[in-house]
Order: sequence, then C-alpha cells, then structure tokens
Amino acid sequence: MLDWKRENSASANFMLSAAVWLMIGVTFGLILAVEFVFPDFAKGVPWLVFGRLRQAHVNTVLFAWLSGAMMGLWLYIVPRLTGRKIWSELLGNISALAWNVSLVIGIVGLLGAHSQSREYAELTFAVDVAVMVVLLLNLVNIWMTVKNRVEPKLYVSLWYIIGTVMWFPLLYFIGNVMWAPPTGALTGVNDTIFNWFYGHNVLGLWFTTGLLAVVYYIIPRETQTPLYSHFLSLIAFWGIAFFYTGVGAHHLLWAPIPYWLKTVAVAESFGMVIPVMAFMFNILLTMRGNWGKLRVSVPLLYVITGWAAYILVSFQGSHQAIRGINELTHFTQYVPGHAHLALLFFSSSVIMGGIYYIIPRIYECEIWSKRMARAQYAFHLIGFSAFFTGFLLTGITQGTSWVHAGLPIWTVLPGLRPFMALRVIGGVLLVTGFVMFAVNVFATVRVRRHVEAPGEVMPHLVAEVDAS
Amino acid sequence: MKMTFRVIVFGGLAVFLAVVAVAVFTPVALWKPPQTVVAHEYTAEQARGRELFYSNGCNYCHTQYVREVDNGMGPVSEGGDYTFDNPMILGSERTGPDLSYIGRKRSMSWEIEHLKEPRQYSPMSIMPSFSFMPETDLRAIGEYLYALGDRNAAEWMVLPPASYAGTSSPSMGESTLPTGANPAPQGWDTFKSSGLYEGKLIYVSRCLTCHGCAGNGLGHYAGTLIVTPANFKVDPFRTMPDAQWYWHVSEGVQGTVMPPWKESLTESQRWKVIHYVQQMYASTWERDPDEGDVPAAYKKTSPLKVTLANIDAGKRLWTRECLACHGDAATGEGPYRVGIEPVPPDFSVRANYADWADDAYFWRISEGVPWTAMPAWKVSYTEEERFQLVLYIRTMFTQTVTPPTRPAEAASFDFPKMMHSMRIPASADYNTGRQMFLERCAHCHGVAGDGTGPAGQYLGTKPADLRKTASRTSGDTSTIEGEYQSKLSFGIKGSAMPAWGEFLPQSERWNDVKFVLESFLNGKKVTTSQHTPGAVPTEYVRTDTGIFQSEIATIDPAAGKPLYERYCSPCHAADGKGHGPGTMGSASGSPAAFPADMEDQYVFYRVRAGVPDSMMYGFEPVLSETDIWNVTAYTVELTGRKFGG
Repeated sequence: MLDWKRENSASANFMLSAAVWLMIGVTFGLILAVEFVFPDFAKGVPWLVFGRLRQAHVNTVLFAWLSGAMMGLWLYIVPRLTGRKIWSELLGNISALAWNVSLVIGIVGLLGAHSQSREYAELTFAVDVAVMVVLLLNLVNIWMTVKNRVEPKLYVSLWYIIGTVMWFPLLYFIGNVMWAPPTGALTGVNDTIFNWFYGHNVLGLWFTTGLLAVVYYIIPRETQTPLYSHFLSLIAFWGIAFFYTGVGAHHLLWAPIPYWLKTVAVAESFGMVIPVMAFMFNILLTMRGNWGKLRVSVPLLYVITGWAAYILVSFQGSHQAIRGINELTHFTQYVPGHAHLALLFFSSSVIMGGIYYIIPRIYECEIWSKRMARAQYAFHLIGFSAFFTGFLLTGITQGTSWVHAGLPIWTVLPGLRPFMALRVIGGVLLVTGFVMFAVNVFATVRVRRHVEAPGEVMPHLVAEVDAS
Repeated sequence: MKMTFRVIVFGGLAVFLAVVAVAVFTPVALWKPPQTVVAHEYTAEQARGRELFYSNGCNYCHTQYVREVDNGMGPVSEGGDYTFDNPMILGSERTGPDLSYIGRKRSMSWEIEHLKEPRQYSPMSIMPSFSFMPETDLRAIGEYLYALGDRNAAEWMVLPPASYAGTSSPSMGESTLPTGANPAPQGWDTFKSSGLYEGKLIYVSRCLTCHGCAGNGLGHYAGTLIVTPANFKVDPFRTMPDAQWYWHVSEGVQGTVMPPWKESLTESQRWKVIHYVQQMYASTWERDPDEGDVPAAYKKTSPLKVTLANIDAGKRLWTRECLACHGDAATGEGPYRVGIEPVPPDFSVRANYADWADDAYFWRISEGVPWTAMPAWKVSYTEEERFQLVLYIRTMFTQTVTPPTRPAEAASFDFPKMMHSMRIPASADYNTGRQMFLERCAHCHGVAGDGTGPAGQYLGTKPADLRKTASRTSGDTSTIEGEYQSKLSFGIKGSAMPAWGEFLPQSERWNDVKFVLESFLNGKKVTTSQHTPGAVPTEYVRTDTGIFQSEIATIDPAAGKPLYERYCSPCHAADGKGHGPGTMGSASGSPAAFPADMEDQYVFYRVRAGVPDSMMYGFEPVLSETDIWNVTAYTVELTGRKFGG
C-alpha cells in the first residue's frame, strides 16, 4: 500500500505527520500555561513537571511541527518553481521517516529528563546526529532538484530555500557544539555565545528564511499578481543573511561576555529593520488591489496574517534588543511572548496557510470545510490576542516591579496570576483552533471533496520537460 | 543582480561565515575570563545534582547570573564564575529567584523539603513539586545548590567588588593598637592618637541609632527596619577582613538601609569608625583603661536643682540609652552587656563612688571612657540633659545626692487621661509576659513579686511588693489595667523603676501588665501538683544527664542549692512543701508540695520550660542547661529520692 515513490508523497508525509505533532505540542503548551496558575495541577507526574515539559513543548513545536511541515512545503514548492519533480521522492520519504522517528526518541527522552538543557538545543547528542543526517539528505534532495531544473531563472523563494538548507546544518553543528559530546557544550561562559548564536538563528536562518520563501510563493500565486519588486527582494535576502546571523548576543546583554560583542548584536538587531521594511513593502505593494481576495482564499488569509505577524515580531525584536528596553524586558515573560508571536502567530500561520494551499492540490480536491477554516481563524486571532496580552502584561509587571520598584522575585508572583490565567484562556481558544485545523486537514485527505471549479486549483503534477 | 545558484550558495556562505567569525569565533577566542572565587570544581555528587538540576529544566525558571540593575541579589556575575560549568545554564527567564548565590542561604534539609513541597516553605511560590524524585536525587540537587555561589558565603556574606578587593587598613597614627601581645598604654593619649576617639564620635552620631551602643544591632531604629542591622559581636563580623568592612561602610549593603557612607565620610573617617567598631565590639579583649583626671573643661558643678522633674528626665535618658548595658538597677547587668569589654561598672558598690563629684560623671558621660564602648553622649545630648542624667545616677544609684521627698502614691507616675479606660488587648499573652517578667523585672521585684530581688535591695526606694495588688478591690479593674500600663511606661517618680516606654514596645508592656495583674490580682493558683507519673513530653524523655556532664561540668546537687534558694524557695519554700515566704498574701497562693515520685526528666522539663498559665517560670533564659540540671538534682533530693537513682 505504501508507495514511497508516489509524486509529492514525501511533501504530504512531512506535512501530515507535522499536523499530528502540532496537537501534541500545543497540548503540552496548554498544560504549561495551566501550571503557571495551578502549580500542583500535575503534581507527582514526573514527565509533566514544568521544567521537562517546557523543553518537550519547545522541541515539539519547533522541530516536529514547524520544521517538519516547513520541509514538506518546500518539497512541494521547489518542484513547481524548477519545473522538475523532486530529485528523489524515496529520499524525501526516508527523510520524513527518519525525522519523525528521531524526534519521537528525542522528545520522549526530554520528558524522561534526558536533556542537554541548552535552550533550543536540548536534544541529546544521538538525536542531534540523526537531525543532522536528515538536514543533509534534505539539502541534497533540494539542491539536486534545483541543479536539474528546467526553468532557468531562480525565483526569490528558491534563493531562500537554497540558502536555508545550507545555513541551518552549519548553524546546527556549530550551535550544538557537536564536536563535544555528550553534553554538546563548551566549558565556561563562552558556551552561552554558541548557545544563543544558535538559539536566535533557529528563528532567523531557519524559520524566517524558510517561511519567507512560502510567503513569496503563495501570495503571488493566490492573488495571480507578479511580485512587486526584484530589487526589494534582493535587499531583504542579503539583509537577512548579513544582519540576522550576528544578533545572538542580544540575549546576553547582561551576561558576563565582551561588551563589544553585545554592541555588535544590538547594531545587527536594529539593522534588521532594513530587510524587514523591504520585505514588508514588497508584499504590501504586491497585495495592492488584491485585499478583497482575503474573503475568498483561506490560504491567503493565513499567509497574510503570518506576514503581518512577521512585521510586528521583527520590529518588536529590534526594539527589545536596545539596552534600555532590554533592561526591563529581560528575564520576564515578555520574551516568551515575543517568541510566541514569532513561532505561533508568524510561523504557524504561514505554515497553516501553506498546508491549506498545498494539501488540496496534492490530493486533487477541495479543502474539506472552508467554513470551518474561517471559523478556526476567529479562534486563532482572538485566542492569540488574549494569549499575547497575557504574556505582555505579565512581562511588563515583572520588569517594572523588579527594576523600578526593586522588588524581590517572589513578591511579584501573586500579582501575575490574573495575567497568567488570561494566557490559559487564550491558550484554550488557540488549541481549539489548532484541533479544527488538524481535523480539517485529515478530513480533506480522507474525504477528497470533488473540485467544483477546476480552474481554481492548479495542476498538481509537474510537466516533465527533457532538460537535455 | 542576477541570482544564480552559485551566487546564492557562495555568496550566502561568505556572508554567513564572515558574520559568524566576527560574532562567534572571535569573541570565543579572545574572551578568557580568569577564574573567580565563586567558581569551584564539582564533587561527583554535586555534578550529579547539577545534571539532575538542568535535565529537569530547573534553569528554565531560575537564572544564574546577577545584573547591574538587580536589587539585593549579590555581586554582579563575572565570566570567571563559570569556569567549571558545562553546559552553561545561565537561564533566560526569572520566574523564580536567581540562584547564583543560593549556597548556604538555606539548610540542606530545607532545600530537600522545599523541593518536595514548595508551598509549605514558600507560600507564594509557583514552583512545581518534585516529590516524585527519589530522596537520593533530591539530596544530590541539594548538594549542588548548597555549594552555589561564594564558598565562604556563611562567613563573608558577599565579596567586595574588584575596586575594594584587597583594601587594607591604613596605619593607625603614632601608636599601634594594643593587643594581647602588645599592651600599649590604654589612656586618653593613645586612644586619641590611634583615631579611635574620632571613630567613636562618628559611631555615636552616625551608627548608634541602628547598631545600638552595645553594637548588637538593636539600636532604637532597628525595630522599624525589615532587615535587622548587623550585630557586630557575632560572625561574620568577628573575623571579617578589612576590605569587606571598608566596602560595606563605603557602599552600603545591598537590600538593606545601610547607607553608602562614602557620600559623607572621608576615606580616613571611614577607616577610623571601622577600627572603633572592630576594637569595641567585633574583636574585644579585656582592658584596664587608664582615664586620668577630669580635664579643666569639664570641672563643673551641676547647675540643676534637685527636683523630681530633673530626676525623671534623667531616668528617661537612662532607660533609653544606658539601661541596655548598665542595667535598670545600675549593677552593670544590662540585657545587652554580653561581650562588652571591659564590663560596665556596678554602681551599687557605693564605696567606689564616694568621692565622685558631678564633674566625674559629667565628663565620662560627655566624652566616654577611653578604650571602652561607653559612647560620647556630648554628640547627641545637651549639657542640661547630661546633667539630668548625672542627677538621676547620683540620687538613685550611688546615692551621693539626697533625693527630694517622694511624691504621694497617686502623683508618683504619669496617668494620662486617655489611659484611664485602656484595657489589656486580646493579643496580650500571659506566658510571654511571665518570661519577660523573669528577665526584666524579677531581679528587683523578685520571682514571687514580693520586691525582694537581689539587685534592687541597695536602692533607696525599695522595689514594690506586687502582692499588694491583691488588696485592690476588683471594682477598680476598669482603670487598673491602664494604671499599670502607665506605671510601666512612665516609671515611678522618686524610684529607680524605669520608664519602660523608652525601651520596650507597647505590646510587650501589655504582656507584662497581663502577667502582673493575673498573677497578683486574680491569682493563678496551682494547689494540686501537675505531675502524673510518666507524663514527660517526648523531647524530654530521652534527655540524658550524661551529655551535660563532662570534665568541666558535673551535675552537683550542692551547686543547685544557692540557685534553688534564689529562684525556687521564695515560693516552694526551703523544704519543697510550698508556703515559701513569697507566697504570703499573694493572690496566686502557694504552689503544691513536690510529690515524691517525680522523675529527674520531669523536674528538668518543668524547671526549663515552666508550667503554662501558672506563675511557674521557664528558667531557660536565665539559667544554663548545667545550672538547670543542678537545680533539678537539688530538688529531686529534697523529695527524699536520690538524683539519678
């Protein structure tokens, strides 16, 4: 029954397994939010204790959900843009299998307190090696497809994907200090420089670059409008490569590392305004006259939401890196709020839009329920607003109480409880939305609703042209 | 720009590697912070605890570095603090407290129990419970935490920053400080030339209100502060290095109200006051100050008339400032005298003061006594006030000035109108009041309240016999509570009864009033013995006399005899059958006779802890364990049984 070489099967397998991981990851997150309000909620259950579950939550959503789904999106997009089928469908499926198996081991390990405990680099050494192997297989598959392409011109999305599959394995290797098993860390304070160089660029040179490719692909497609400017694309691409790589030390502005390095990180962080502006205007101007299509197209709705969230989170991040602001926000819940804006509202929105766009095309059908997808959007938007407000209020209260009022940590905790409860309420709405998403995706694949207006759905197969 | 595959790959790689070289590899190659005293290698158990700590994700809520802006968390972290750490767990969120310097702040058992049930120990905590972990793992985490931070934390609190590290005391002027090996002359000349006199003046004007004239951190301001001021007589101060003193005095102490004195004192002034504190409180030794004669400037006769008002003003000053060391009966047995060298004088030995005129007192009160902790009160009190104090001492204690006629009973104390209707508050506690009476009042008023306490017998006006309270009609109780509070707060004019309002908080005075009134007005009668055979609390059952007996301490009924006579026979009588002299006319009546079958441990327990809601005191605050055993032995043998038999 399993056909490892069926066209687009690797893409679909990555995305569908990611949708399962999403359910697990957000459930972890919800339990964590509840534990902030009711610390004895899961008392006595070792694998639900906050410290372990937090690591499992982060790695589940980061790698199993977002990264898996993102690689699935690429495996569909790259063939469309090169005019070639993926170089090896079999290799793609092996990658998907290896990815999921290694993450099952890694995440179950984290729940059992097997962790390197470096933020975002928690997976143990053996899992790191497996992850590296998949990343390299993925690089080969995509580069070989690009190499054998029919379409001579490389579209913006391909720049990003080619760059990302190259940067991330390097980043993963350096950041995880993979030459020093088993802790995967240096001895002494310099380890933090590696840790946060990696930690921030999981977002900067993996999700950002990997998902801007998706935005650049889906928006022109769904609006049937060519991208506004090649020049703005160039600025954004090289700007991100230059500025994002060096921002890591802004996580360490108060840690005992060299002062000049902190200044470099602040400058690079603020420099990010340049590529973000270029990207923002490029999409904004492409969307001119197309805003009405948000009412028709579900994928466009989610991808545009992700685009807006990206603008917000980037400006927030640049400001947060300024010393005077960082002094107040550092160590507070404002920072995980920022991270959720990036990974939940930006990354997850783009990916959900991408999956809503691609899955029906792979299976030649309509989305099972567009109405449910729109209802889900209401949960997503309202849920995130409450959720994010909870984080912001918690963080601002913490920061000002500690720094301005000089209060000890524990005295502030009772005052944070209502804001933490707000986060739980938003979290319940968000999780509801994600469940609706997963149900919709699996129902789409199972029911395969007949396409009523064939013109709206693009051909799913790549016409093989002899390149020779 | 044409974006080809090559341009993307090689260009992307070049940009990436260039930035990584600058922002990752260069700093890592250049940044080699030297190891600090905070860093230490981990023992196998500590390393295991650290691994459990981070793999369970504790570092996701607890940071391990202190920033410049952080308040009261300890010194700002340095790179060398982490020399032995792998992986680094600095942390990025501070949901719980920073743990950089948590070592030795809590006991090991606290750490373990707190990990199991956080909210039992820290009610506002939102930390999860780690009760699922085996005890051995919790202990390993405890071992790790206990060693976090400065390894000398228990002795040193926190280390001075680099700018203060290694600062040492400058030369002390012409003379070096006398030590046991170097007994320099201990007169005014060396006291002044070594800078200690100036140090004393600074101490009295800047430090005394919080740290107290006895240097034990119980100055008048101390009770209002959240953080208790330092008690110089205990560690870490007894052995604190100069650099540490100088840092704290210069910069203040984080998390407390200790001011940064560098703002108003010069470097040399700061060192002088440090030397004074070190010499007088932190590391004292027995001295014999050679004072010399009263200097010409102080050869004065008191300009004051011998009036009740002046004497009363002097008493208030005495209660506020002098009583702490000199005692309320001026016998040199004040509550804070412990550790003061030389000990305060005993004014009851009147022969020593027969030839002292006003100027002898006035001079010492004004300038202090060289090489002692006696403050120079000229800094804080006017000449008139100091002479009022002289008058109080001379009329009440050394009795070299004849006091005026005592006022009538009703006029002998202040009884403000608003106090007439005052009642003992519900929060007042009889047993607490009883223990305070034993410590503060019994040495004059006697344990039986009959006014026969040994310290008060030399006074011109004998201590009151509190048993006379019983003769008051109970119809007066509407005002008697306020009346006793007034007597206690303002003192009795024409007597040495202190104005306790100057020294004790009102709540403690109410406890005392409750004890006095209930004991002597209503009576706390215990006419049948409280003893039932075998009824010894668990913590006393296994009390073994052996641990109190050693080469230097043996339990001896003969040594218990004088103690029994002082503390027990006023009520229990010399033969242990009750009806002691102190019970005559007392509302509480006579205690029951000792039953013959009391266990040794039972007697020890009752002598040490007292009998709740009766007049039987717990003698733990005034007698050593060995003395309590001695009294116990004597008491047991009174009942006709052999002690230890």
